Amino acid sequence: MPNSDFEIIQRILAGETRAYAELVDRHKDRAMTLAMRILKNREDAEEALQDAFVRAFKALDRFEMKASFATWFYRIVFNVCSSALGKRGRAYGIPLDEDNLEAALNTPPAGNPEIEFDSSAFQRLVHEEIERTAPAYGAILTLFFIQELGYEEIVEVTGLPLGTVKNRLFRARMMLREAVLKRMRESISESGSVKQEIAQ
Amino acid sequence: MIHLTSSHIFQLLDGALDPSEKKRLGNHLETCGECRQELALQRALARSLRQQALASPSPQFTTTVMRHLLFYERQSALLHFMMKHGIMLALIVGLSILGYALLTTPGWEMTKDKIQTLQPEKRITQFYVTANRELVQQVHNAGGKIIDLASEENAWLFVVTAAIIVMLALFDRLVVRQFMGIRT
Repeated sequence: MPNSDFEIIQRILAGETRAYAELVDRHKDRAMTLAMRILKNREDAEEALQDAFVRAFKALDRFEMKASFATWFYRIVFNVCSSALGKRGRAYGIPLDEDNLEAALNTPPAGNPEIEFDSSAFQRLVHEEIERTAPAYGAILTLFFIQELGYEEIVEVTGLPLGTVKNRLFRARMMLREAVLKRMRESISESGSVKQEIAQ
Repeated sequence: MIHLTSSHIFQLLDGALDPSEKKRLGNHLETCGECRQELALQRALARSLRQQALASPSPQFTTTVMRHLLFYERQSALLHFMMKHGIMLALIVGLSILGYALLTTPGWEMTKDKIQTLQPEKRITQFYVTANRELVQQVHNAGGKIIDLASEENAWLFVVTAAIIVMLALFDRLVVRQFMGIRT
């Protein structure tokens, strides 16, 4: 049976520094995904993640054992990535261009193009669109769907008020929906025109 | 027909509705194809988001982090030592320099033989008195004036002050740092 995070932390605090490698291996992929969603660049994300792991190690004696290590650590990752984004001159915030959101809110729930939602094409399309999502929305979507955190935990990680977290998640979902639908419509019309060309 | 709002659909997917509300929305979904289609789309998006492949850092990532940590530990061992013994070391060095400076003054040299004949408990007070006189003399030679305070009472004051400094240093190490949560 694998050791829990708490057991590993207790070993580290008792002086077994090498046990930290187990914690790193356990959390690096999910944390890297969060870093990638915010920084949109592999090298920057890896550097920020390294920094976050070192910071977490230094602060490990202040970690309260009642909390989840993952949530506590994601907060460090989130802060490091936000600072890195700031240094690159891109503030972590809401983009001004929210055309997708406006379109999504104005689109009635009907009229979705016919497409296989389970297809790998759909999966790829969602992946491409989430990669393009603004950091503020990408981070919230990742924390909710990949890290599977609840609203309260996202509040803890991001330091945002509960209302803002709920609102941002709602907007992120709507914008992703609209972006995916737009791409689906485009691909359907492209394939339609190809069929027409072949028929002619 | 009034359709379900996006908020309703998200709450339904996230399991955030109470049973009566869930039943009400369920009734609507049974009769509304458009809302069923929207629910299917949102469900597919949520599933797709959950199934997204995780991004992995480079294979040597853990090794690199651990190397950084070992470097930090070596650095912090020095820092740790300084935090633990720094004040004591500073006091010892400070008092040694002061002692050396006073011991090498001409006045001290002249009376050294005399002082060595004294009882051990008298030596330190005599040392203070001699040093104080030497200071007064130096100031006088330099054209200034200082009131000669040299006496055995003042000598004890000097000893008590030094003892208080040492006690404060110990207090700082043993008590204050405990409250401040600094590990020594």
